[in-house]
Amino acid sequence: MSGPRKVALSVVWALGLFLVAEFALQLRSQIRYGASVFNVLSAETTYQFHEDLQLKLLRPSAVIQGSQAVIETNSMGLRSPELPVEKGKSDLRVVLLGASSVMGTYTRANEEIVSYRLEAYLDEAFPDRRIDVINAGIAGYGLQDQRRMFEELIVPMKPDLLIWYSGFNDISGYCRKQSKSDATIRRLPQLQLPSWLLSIELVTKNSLWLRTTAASKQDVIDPESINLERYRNDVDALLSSVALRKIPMLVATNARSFRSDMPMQMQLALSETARYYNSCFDLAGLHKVYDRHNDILAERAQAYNFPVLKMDQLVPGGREYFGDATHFSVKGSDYVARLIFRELQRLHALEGPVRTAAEKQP
Amino acid sequence: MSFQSFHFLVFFLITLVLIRTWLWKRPEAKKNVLLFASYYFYMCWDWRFLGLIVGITLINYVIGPKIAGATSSRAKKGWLGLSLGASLGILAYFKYANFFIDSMNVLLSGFGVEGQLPLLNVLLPVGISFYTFQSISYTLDIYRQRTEPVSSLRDFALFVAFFPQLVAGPIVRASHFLPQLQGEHKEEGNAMETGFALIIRGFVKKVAIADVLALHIVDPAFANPSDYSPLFLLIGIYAYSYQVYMDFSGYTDIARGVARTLGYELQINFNRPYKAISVSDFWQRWHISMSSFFRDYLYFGLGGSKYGNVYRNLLLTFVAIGVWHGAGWNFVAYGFCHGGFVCFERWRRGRRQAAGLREPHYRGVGLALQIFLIFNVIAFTRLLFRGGSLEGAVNYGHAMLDFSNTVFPVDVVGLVVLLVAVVFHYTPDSWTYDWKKVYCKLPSMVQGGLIVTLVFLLVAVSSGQAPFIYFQF
Repeated sequence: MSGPRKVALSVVWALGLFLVAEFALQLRSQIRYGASVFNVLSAETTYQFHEDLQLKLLRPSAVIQGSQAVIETNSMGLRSPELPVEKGKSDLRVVLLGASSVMGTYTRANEEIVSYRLEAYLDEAFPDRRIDVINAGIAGYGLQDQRRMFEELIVPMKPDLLIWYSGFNDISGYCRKQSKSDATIRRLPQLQLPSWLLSIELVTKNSLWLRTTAASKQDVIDPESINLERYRNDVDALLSSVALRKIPMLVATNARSFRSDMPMQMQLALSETARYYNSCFDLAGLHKVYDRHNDILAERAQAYNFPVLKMDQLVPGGREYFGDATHFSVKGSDYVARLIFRELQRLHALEGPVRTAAEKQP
Repeated sequence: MSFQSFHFLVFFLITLVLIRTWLWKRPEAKKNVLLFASYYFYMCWDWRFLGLIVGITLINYVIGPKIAGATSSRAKKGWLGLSLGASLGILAYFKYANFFIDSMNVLLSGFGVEGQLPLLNVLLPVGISFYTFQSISYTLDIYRQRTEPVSSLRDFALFVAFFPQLVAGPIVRASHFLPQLQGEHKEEGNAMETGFALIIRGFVKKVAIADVLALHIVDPAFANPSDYSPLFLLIGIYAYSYQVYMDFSGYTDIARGVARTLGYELQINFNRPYKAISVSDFWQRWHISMSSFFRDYLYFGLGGSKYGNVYRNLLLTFVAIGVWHGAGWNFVAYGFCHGGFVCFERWRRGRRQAAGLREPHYRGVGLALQIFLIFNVIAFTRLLFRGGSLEGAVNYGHAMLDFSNTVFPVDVVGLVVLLVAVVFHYTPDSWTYDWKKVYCKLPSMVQGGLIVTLVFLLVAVSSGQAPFIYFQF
């Protein structure tokens, strides 16, 4: 056979093989994590958009099951146990607000995530009180999502204490802004590859080393040149919202697995996912941009008289404590929970207000 | 719509299936669909520029028969002047207006004239240099009685806008392409397969070689030359030469492959340019459709080697080639340098002939040294091209002389790909035909597997959809 018919057949074969590879990867993802395109087909996606709250939340009251991870959600769409409808007089509600690190990427079961571990430590320390630690972390959340989550979902829970671990999701926004530079061009709408295609994502993620250069890239952004005003404003917006409601809060800076004092190869290996999601920064740039964001977080929290836990300095880096660049491993989650617990003890946070001058406005 | 985009893949497959199935035996409907597809392709870049390409098409379509029908030489020249004036005027407005205004401002301020002329806020339409030249080649060919006016506006519009070569060539001549539209082209039996083989080769050149060289060596070197050692900067210059060749010849391969699968043949644009043994030889191997355009329509028009001063004609032609690439004094200097080298080679050839000496015939080590020498001439003059400006080129040159700097951040991936590019370029020509034959003989299942493997490989090494370098021209 030759000619157009053979070419058509090879294209069909190529498409077929591609679909087989994609199907196998989706199946693998379904078996391991309980999340794949099959969920979309059965309307059982891991995440669902809550129209009233205008928030992306986990599928409520579900057990999203895979061999590598089981995510159990409550009726609010959080990776947390169900809360009693009425809050008892001596009950304490502690909310851990954040993004994927709080939600528990790289932790196989709810019992291994930071909020559960913290609750275990608190239960042990205060055996005569009911303490609920609510996990209010959703993967992909930026600061604005977290503020909305706080105002729409957390405030009605009447929390006694808020612990804020914001994560680094807002940083990828700098890279997106750069790629939209040619706004004056009027293109017709373009088809994009479906975002659920795992084969392309898997290849791209696992081949980052091929695109890692020894020299500085031309298109990287100098962290000194980025405008942090928006980030500062978003931090302020959440801090003032919490302060306005007079809810005590402990603000944690964000930790990462790669440290500048590690050998270069180790830093490159540990920072792979961070460089994948923030492709406009090189390694040195990422260190700088992470530090600058942590500095703002700490500085603004102190301006509002909220205590700060310097997690970036306290959590050791490396594979032992992290599953990738910024998400905690099981051991890391426990370590972080213990750090928070000790800080709360030191501050006598559960015996009285965390900020003695809580009402004081900056 | 870049060739590397998912949108292009869908667009191409739909067009191909339509053309190869129910439109294959309906040539008129096929051309209608191809014209619609070509305009859609162009609008995907920026829909506002559709009017521009349609305008240029109409101007030259209307003027073509006027030239052919004019009874006097003066009338012919008048119509041709109108075609050139209108087409080149549009090109000049979009591409060169700001360059002239900027140069004028510098000149005026040199004379102490206060105030600045404001720059125009215009976007450069993608591919404008290519389709403008293609259009005027039609009226020029009619003027020189090399081709007849085409009666069908649709055929002429498709000749100007044919999407595989619309934005970066090859610059197709009316006498070559219009007969194909009128059904005078008989395709080979395995045209579809060799077309796909060309597309695959083009993607490998672009994504796996050109973009990787840019990411690992060229972009860092040219972004901050003062940060790096002379050796790294030297490798940067060599790597750029291979990047620009793989990028542009990769585009040409894809364009030719796509055209071939649709049933049309575009001309070869490259012939192992870094095997050239002189600068003149290089220009017969590099971007052949453009250099032959300037040779036929400008150099010969100026008198070539028969009338007037041949050196002046050569210099003017090469400066025009330089300026065709972009609006900037660096491009003028680039053309002037190459023109100067070609003039020198011509002068030396004349002297040898006058002295009764034959042309040198290079062999073995001598041939290798001559090729290396000419490659260096080409590579170093491209500093003017890649430097972005005269100042950028000078800064790069200065940094190359700073021997105190020892920073040499070449990684394995960059070096391996540069080596592959060199080997790829210097393999015997026959190998190209051999691998196409091997590909065509593979069973369709293996071909399909190869395509999927290549797609994943290209995704792995790809650093995003870097645009083709020649799109800016």
